[in-house]
Amino acid sequence: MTLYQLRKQPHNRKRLRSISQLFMLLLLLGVWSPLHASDAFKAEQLKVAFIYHFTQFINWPEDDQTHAKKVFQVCLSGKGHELEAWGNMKGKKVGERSIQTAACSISRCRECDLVFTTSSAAIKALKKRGVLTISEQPGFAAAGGVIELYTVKDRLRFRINVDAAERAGLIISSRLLKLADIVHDGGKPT
Amino acid sequence: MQATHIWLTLGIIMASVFPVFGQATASLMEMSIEELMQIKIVSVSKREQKISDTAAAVSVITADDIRRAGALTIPDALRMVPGVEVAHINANKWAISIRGFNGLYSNKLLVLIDGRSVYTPLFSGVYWDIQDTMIEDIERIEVVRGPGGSLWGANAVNGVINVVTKHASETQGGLITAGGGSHNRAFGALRYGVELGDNAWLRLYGKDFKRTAFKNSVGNAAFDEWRIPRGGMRLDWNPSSKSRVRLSAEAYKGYAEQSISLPSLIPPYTQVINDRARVSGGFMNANWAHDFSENNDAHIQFSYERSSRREVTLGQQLDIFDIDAEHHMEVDTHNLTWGLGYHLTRDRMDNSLTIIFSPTEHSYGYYSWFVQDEISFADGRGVLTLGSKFLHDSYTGFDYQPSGRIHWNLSERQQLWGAVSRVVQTPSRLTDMRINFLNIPPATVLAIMPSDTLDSQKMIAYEVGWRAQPSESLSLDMTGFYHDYKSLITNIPGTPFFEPAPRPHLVLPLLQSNQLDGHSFGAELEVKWQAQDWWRLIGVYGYQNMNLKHAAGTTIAASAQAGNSPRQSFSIRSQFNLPSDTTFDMNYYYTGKLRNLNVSANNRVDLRLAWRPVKAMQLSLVVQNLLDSRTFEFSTSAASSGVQVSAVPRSVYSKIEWEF
Repeated sequence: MTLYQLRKQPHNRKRLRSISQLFMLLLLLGVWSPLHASDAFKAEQLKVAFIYHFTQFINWPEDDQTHAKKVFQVCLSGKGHELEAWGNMKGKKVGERSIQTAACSISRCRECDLVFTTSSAAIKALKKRGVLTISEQPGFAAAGGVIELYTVKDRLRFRINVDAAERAGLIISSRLLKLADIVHDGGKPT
Repeated sequence: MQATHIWLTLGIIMASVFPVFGQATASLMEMSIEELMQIKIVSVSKREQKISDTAAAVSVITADDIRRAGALTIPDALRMVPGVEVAHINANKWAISIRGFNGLYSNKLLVLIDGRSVYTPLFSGVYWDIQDTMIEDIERIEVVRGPGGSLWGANAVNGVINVVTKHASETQGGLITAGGGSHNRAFGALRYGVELGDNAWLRLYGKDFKRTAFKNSVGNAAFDEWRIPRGGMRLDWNPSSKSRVRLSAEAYKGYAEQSISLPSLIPPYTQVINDRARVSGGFMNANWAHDFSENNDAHIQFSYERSSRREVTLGQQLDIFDIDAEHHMEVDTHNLTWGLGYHLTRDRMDNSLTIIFSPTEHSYGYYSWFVQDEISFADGRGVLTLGSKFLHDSYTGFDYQPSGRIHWNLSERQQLWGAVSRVVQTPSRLTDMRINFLNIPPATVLAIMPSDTLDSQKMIAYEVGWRAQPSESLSLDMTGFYHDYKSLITNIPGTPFFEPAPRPHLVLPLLQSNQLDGHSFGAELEVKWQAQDWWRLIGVYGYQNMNLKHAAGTTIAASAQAGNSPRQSFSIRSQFNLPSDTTFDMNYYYTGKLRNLNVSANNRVDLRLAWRPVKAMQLSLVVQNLLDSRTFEFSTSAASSGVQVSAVPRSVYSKIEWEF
């Protein structure tokens, strides 16, 4: 089945041929040094970097009570977070507010500006103005979470539920929306 | 047109490699989000994580373990696993088994490379001299002791060894390794990996080596040189985010020498022949996995292998086809897996006066299916696994192999498991074979005769295990087992008869028969301790005690099989990470005596010193068998099938690995 599929695509075969020619060419020219295998990063560190960037492209509602505070509260709900990676958030700011990171239970997560959760159960409890919910749970965005992280070919991608963002009063920059896979409630794509 | 392709490909490679080259962790925060989206995540293999939750005795050897043990072959890497017996017979032959029954043709293991079964259906054992790949491409070796964990195969009686090679995306760029030394005279390998567009990766590799002969009992060079060059490829392709295709192929051609004693009807009646066995072959393997949804996936695998081996006692050519499919889904607390498989062998034999197959050409196979349900209970703290394999074989017909396993998390850091499984081993093509293995002067031949009445060999295994991680730096894994064997094959004397050709002689036939019963029990322990940031210690211990009994009326020694394996074995490995990118590793292995084979207990020490002067290069120096200039790990016997053993020398080699 598989073999058949591969053979049927002349496209692939041509590519294979050109790759082998490239291989020979490289051998002849001795062009080795620039071709390093790409450095890979730990998943959690990459997620932290993504989430930090999200905060830079999103405006929180002005009427939000927590907004008066000097602190931008990032909450980690659920099990299995690597707290070490979250240390990279230290000293970073969202607007004028300094980011603080803490683990929390769902009931206490209401005081947060951003909640990164490993459980979809949190969605209902957090359907609230001014809270950006992020999770890797498959179907998180469709179920009403704001941002869902997922991987494609070992690279991180994200999906934004624009309905949920609107409900939370979050204004997301077009630059971020352009990079995202946009969905609506129930998972309908735009 | 071709030139555009070249430059296009070059462009793709450059573009995919450059933006992320050499970034430090903290700078992730400084990158743009577009850059972040190009970065690859280190993926922790799902399967590997699962292994700690397996209700079976599982050990995993990582690529790092293999490198740091200085292992250049798969058998050398297996010395690290508790309960696995590894003994050199000569420079290119090993006796390898798990929980007893060791021998050159030991036959109770299932050995897989990337899911492809590599044991020969001829005698259900493994020709270890041809099982090789680029050692740097091995991601890990999973070893399951006992019949546990295997869904497939007719041969997984005492254990399963699964060699897993790296995904082609993990071997991008180039790698050259080269080295040489006293016994490992010269070896080298070249691998190159490229990305084909966005979602396909390819690696090509080739390797060659030459081992010089071991020493015989009087200290002269034995006749057992070994050289097998091979080349291959692996392509990994994701046609969509839900599908994964793997295609691999390999070919080899070389030789493995042996001295072998053969009976003859003319004086001196027994000759030792120096035989250079010519081996060649290759395989192709295709695997397609698809996720229908998060909890529902399937894969299908096809492989074809051809192998040819010309020895003085037998010429053989085998074609092996295998196809299997597996479907897995999670429903509520149930984790359901079922599958189907078919395995077909076609062989052609060139008989000699010693080994006679009848018929010389034959096709045979088996089909098998299985179903298994993992049921989690008590909020996921416990998992009960119930299932059975079923097998239909050309030789014995239908067999069932049920198992029940339970796994319980005492806490986050402590797990208990237990299992009961029934497993069978079906007779192999060996039952069509006659071996004239001994000549009693002047004209009497002792011969093992073909048999068409053989039944499956059966075993019921009872196992318990305990795993604990008392602290972040310490982990323990303990297993106890009791194996109850029924109907093992043994030889019983038959009625002598006269044969006129090639010269008139009397034949004392030995008939293969399912008349051996018995049991074995034992324990295995594995301790891993990160003593310091820079110092890791791994200790392994195995004990086993086997008792076999003939059914009434049969006489040939039952202790023969039971005494071919050591009662006790252990190893301690110490891994130092020293300043200036230097590592120093000490590996000590103890193997108890092989009572039936008159092999005394032996101690082996291997040392390795490695230095990485620049990130892309590693230099290493390895001493193997430091303590002894000549060690016999096995003896010439029925268990070595007449192959003359030779002694493992003290040896040294150096190696350079260069990534580009």
